[in-house]
This record gives sequence, structure tokens and C-alpha cells, in this order.
Amino acid sequence: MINDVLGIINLGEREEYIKELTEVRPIAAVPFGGRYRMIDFTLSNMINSGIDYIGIILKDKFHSLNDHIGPGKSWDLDRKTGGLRMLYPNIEPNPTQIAIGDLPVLRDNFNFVLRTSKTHVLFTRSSYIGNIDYNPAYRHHVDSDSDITILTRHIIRGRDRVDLLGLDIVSQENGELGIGRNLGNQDEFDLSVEMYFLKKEVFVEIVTEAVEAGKEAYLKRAIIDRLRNYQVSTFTLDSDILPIHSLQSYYNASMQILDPAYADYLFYRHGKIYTKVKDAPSTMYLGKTDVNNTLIANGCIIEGTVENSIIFRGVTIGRNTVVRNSIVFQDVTIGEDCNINNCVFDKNVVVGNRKVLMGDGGLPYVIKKGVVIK
Amino acid sequence: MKGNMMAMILAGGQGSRLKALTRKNAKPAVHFGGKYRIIDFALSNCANSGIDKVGILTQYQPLGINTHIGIGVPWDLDRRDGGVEILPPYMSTEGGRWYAGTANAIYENMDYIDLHDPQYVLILSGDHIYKMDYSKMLRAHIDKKADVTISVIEVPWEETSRFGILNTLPDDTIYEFEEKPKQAKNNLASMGIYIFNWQLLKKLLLEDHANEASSHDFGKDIIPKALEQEKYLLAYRFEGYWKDVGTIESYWEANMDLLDPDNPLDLFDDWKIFTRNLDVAPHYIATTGDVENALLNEGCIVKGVVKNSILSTGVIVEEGAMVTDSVILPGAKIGQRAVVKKAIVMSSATIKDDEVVGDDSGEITLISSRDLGLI
Repeated sequence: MINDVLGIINLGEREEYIKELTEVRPIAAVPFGGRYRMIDFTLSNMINSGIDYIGIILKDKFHSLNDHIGPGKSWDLDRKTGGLRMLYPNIEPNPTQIAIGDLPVLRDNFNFVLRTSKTHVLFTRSSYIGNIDYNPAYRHHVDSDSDITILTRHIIRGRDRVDLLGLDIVSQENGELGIGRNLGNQDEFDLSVEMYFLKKEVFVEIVTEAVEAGKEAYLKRAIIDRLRNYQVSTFTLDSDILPIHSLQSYYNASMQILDPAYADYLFYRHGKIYTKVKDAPSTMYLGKTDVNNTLIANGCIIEGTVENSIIFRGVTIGRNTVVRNSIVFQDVTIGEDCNINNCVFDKNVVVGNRKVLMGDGGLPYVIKKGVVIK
Repeated sequence: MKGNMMAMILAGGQGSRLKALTRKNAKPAVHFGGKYRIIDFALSNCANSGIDKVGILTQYQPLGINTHIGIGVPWDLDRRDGGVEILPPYMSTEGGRWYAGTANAIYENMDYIDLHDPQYVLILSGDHIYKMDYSKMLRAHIDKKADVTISVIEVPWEETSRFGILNTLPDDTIYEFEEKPKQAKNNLASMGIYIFNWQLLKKLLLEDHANEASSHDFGKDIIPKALEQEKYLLAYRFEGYWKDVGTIESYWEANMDLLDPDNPLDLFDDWKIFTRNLDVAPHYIATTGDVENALLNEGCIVKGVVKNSILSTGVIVEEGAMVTDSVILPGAKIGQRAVVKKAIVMSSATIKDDEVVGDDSGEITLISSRDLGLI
């Protein structure tokens, strides 16, 4: 049973390609899909699959994530046994260097892993969105008696529009598994979605070895380097998982949820996606509006024209304003007579009247959190 | 002041004039305003007023209320001490009894109130739409040293015959209660919101219970009794939006009021109305969709035209459909090219492709679903 599994979500993620949105928050707390944060997908997938003990390895910028997750009530994780554990890095009294990587955090919180009676670990990140049932992968992991099972998504170039910059692909050469970089040579391959099932004793062994050797800072590296020591298998998830690791992939994935079929998959396929409740009223459309191909969350007041956009909770869009191909985060106010195209507005941005803001056709123009454009 | 007053919400009424809307649901559990149930207003008012002990008296079709309230998490009323408590009728050594009236419902739960031993008890109806700070009313009750304070609202003189009218002296002391008077002497209507000193209420309830001729009703029996005993009854004037959604018409009107940007009941202000969250995605408006002057909740998919209407959670409006002046309850589906005019479409009901329901001439059309709309 999958309730034998301990979930670990590793927030030590690379942010260099998406830094426009991660200056104030980890990727886990980046808003996505009108009312969610990235981590909602990972957490909800685990919960919906039956995993009820989950640790989150924190790196930095805790505030926004703590604010979002709290005691885990929205995910039904406020439990007496199991539930949610936040794994903070320890502050060294006499630091000689800034601790990097997730291994030190795991070392500092290792009792969390050692003391549980769970027999397997699902080690994941928060930078992938999808609606995943982990049960088939877990069954494969157990039935094949694998020490490590690497979960993948099959990609066919041309069919799947996925920005592969900086992502891992799983290769198989002479029967030996490897994880490497995609250099654009293959038309068809398996993308590692950075989710692994490991036997708990294997997980403990790898972490202990890596920490003791002191050469590595990242658990993923430690696992990959030791693949040859273990019985490793792969499992291709039957899900349209999208990596969100760059501004481009963030924007593309956001636009993809405007496809009702994809939205239906992402928000409902194997269970609902849970998030923090905001208690906003329904969205009010004042007078004659013109809204097309747009996803709008609750608590908004819409008067203008909105097209091909994602509007988060509590947004106000004024009269005669046109918003196209944009993503507008929570509590943004856009005034009257504005013309906006291809932008991402971070939280609490205020735009006055008669403003024109345009990104170019490729990358969206990001307006940072709390900026006031008067 | 906190902790001194607990609230008892009367939520057992059938509300038969709401017809099919209350066939499977008590009136307080009827869906309202896109995402709420009617009782959310009274309950959120309690939470926002700092009242953390709330008893909810249920009787008629309680499933909707029970599942909605649960342990009170959305209202932050899942407390170690107090919080929310659902109080249905029960069996005792003398047998089982239904609540025989509003006063009897409180009488039967005197032990529950004594358990918390409050100084004041606030009696509320679970079926009114309004935002009110009960702590201000309690302030007035304490400052004026009243025995009973009744919240009142000025109603148009021509409508006084529809309400329980309180006749008052210039200093707002109540000297008479008249139920639906033909010739009203005053236009202050009782809102069915009472603050009692608990020890006095307890005494009145015991006397009322012993009186076999009594109908055990607050308006008809308890208030006249308190007046008879020359207690100090104070009228507390409430200004703002207040609506008893007792009929299909008033239910529809109260929903439509929300679409008026100048409506005094502002759902967007800081006095939040809390409700159970259904964890569904934002709503989606397709290229073929068109929305004008409407309130849309999460989970809706709009491919048709929606005008002057309220769409509750998860409503689907298919391409070519036209919804005007209507209230669509959760999970209802409006088929392709269907026309819905001035109607209330109940939860999970389906309007078939090309079907035409309702007309804009006057009467409100109520479309019920096969499962009678319980979610």
C-alpha cells in the first residue's frame, strides 16, 4: 500500500531561468493556474494518491511558503500522526561558509526519515505540474523490487512543446541507466520528472554516505552518481506533466491550461488540487464585459476586455482596459483605458489609468511584486 | 466583552414558501449568492463579531446543514473551548420531542448554554441575508442596562403588515409587540435578533414551558411575556441591508441585489462571509462566451451568454445558450442553445439543448432537479 510511503518534497531547486518570479519566493510558492501555488500540485497529488506523511526540505525564502501552507489544513495534513513536516536548515553558530544544497538540511532533519515506520520514500520537487496518481508507479517499484525507480514522461519532439533547457533525460546504454542532458539529438526520449521512489534503507544509505563523504551538496547528484550500485528501474507516468523551470515554460504551461481539456486533466483527473482558502466572493462582471478564452478566479471585479489570460484572485480590471495574453497575480489592480499585452503581473501590482504595457511575442514582460505604475 | 455572549442560531425551519428549494434542505442551507448558503451570513457575522461559542438548532432536513457546518472550520469555529455545536432534537427519559417552537428549541438546550455559562445569549435566525456587528448591539445592551435588546429595522409603512412590529417610546424603549398589524403604529420591524440576559431568558423559558397555551415562540410568547413582566426591552436600530429570503420572489431579489454595484450589502468589503470551500478551479470563459453584469463562481465553464445572472460553483453554460436574470445553483448544466429567463435553476439540474425555460414577463420559474438539489 502506498501509505507505506514517506513523501519528501525538495525545494532546493534551480531558479536561474525563472528568477523574475522567484526573487521573493521559492518556485514552490510561485502562483500558478489562477488560484494555486506550484507546491499545491505536488502536495495534492501525494494526498490524492494516499501518501499522508510529507516532509518539505526548505532552502530559503520561507516566509511566503509558510504563509501559504500553514499547518497544512487545506491539504488535510494537520494530523496527529504523520501529516506535514517543514524541514528547516539549521543555523550554524559559527558559519565558515554558507551551507548549500539539500543534503545538509536532510542531515539536520534526518530523524524525520529514520524514525518513521514507512518503508519507501517518494522524493520529488515542486517545479512540475500535473495531476498524478502515484499508485501505478509505486506498484511497479514494489513489484520489480527496485531499489530506485525513476519516474519519467515520454517526450516526442514536435508533438510535445516542452522547454527542455536545463532538464534531465534518462538514457539507457548497454543496459545501464544514466541521467544526462538533452542536447537536441534525439526525437523521442524520456524526460526525468525528478520524482523517485526509493526503498527507505537505500535512501538512508545514500544520504549517509554522501553526507559522510562531504563531497556532494545535492541529493539528486548523490543518487545519480550511485545508480550503478543499485537495482534501478524507470516508470513512465501516464500524465502530461509539465516542468516549470523557466519563465518560458511557466508562461507556456499557463497558456496550456486555457485548453479546457488540459484544464480538466490538470485540475480534476485523479483528484482535486487543494490550495489555501481565501474566502473571496464570486467574481463580479460589471456592465458589458468582453472576456474570451480566459480563466478567472474568485474575488475579481472585471469591467474591461480580457483575452487569452489567467486572472488570479482579487484582481480588478477597469473600464475600457484591454488585457491580452497575460497572467495577472493575486490582488493586482489595473485601472481604466489601459492596453496590456503579453505581461505577467506579480502580486499587488497597481497600474493606473491609460497605461500601455507590452511584452514582446516571445517572453512575457514581468512587472515585479508590489510595483506601482502611475 | 469577548466570551460573555454566546449565540444560538435557529436553523430548523422548513421555509415551505421556498417550495422545491427546501424540499431536501432546510432554509438556512439553501445556496445563495454564487458560493454561499444562507446560514453563512449569520455564522460569519458571529465569527466577525468575536463570538466563539455558537449553537445551531437543527430539525427539518438537517443533512445539508450538518455537512456544510461540520466542525466549523471555515468560520474558524473549530475551537477547543466552545466553537460551533449542532443541536438537533433528542431523546430523554421522558421520551423524544421535536422542537415545538423557537423558544422551545432554546429551552431544550438550556444545559448546553449553562455549560458555557454566558452572561448574555444572542438569538439569531439562520435564514437572513445581512452583515451585522453583534458586538455593537451588545455594547448598546450593556450601556443601556437593558434586559432584552431586539434589533430592528425601519421598513416602509405600506409593508408594516408583513412584519412583527415593535412599538417604541422616543428613547427606543419597546412597550408593545404587534405581529403583522393591519394598522401599524410604528415602522420598526423586528429582525428576529435578540440579546437576552441569560438568567432572565432562562426564567422566561421555564415559565413558557410550563404554560400549555403557549406556542413557544420568541415573537409571540417570550417577548410579550417579558413586556408583561415590565422588563426593559430596548430596540437596537440596524441600518443597512437586511433581507428575510422567505419566498421564491425575495430569494430571487436578494440574489439580484448582489449584482447592483450600489447594493448596501457589499460582498467585497472586509466583513468577509465565510463558507465551505469546494476546491475547484477558477472559472473559464470561452471565446464564444459573453458575460454581462453577472456574478460567477469558481468551477464554471461559460461558452454561452450570461446576463444579469448568478452562476454558482461548477455551472456549465454551453455554446449558444442564453441565461438572463437567473440564479443558477451549483453544478447545473445549461445545454446548447437553451434559453433561461428569469429562473432559478436548482443544483445539478440540466436544461436540455434547445430547451426554453422561464419568461421575463413576471413570474419566476423554478427548475428543480431530479435529486432535488442537495449537494
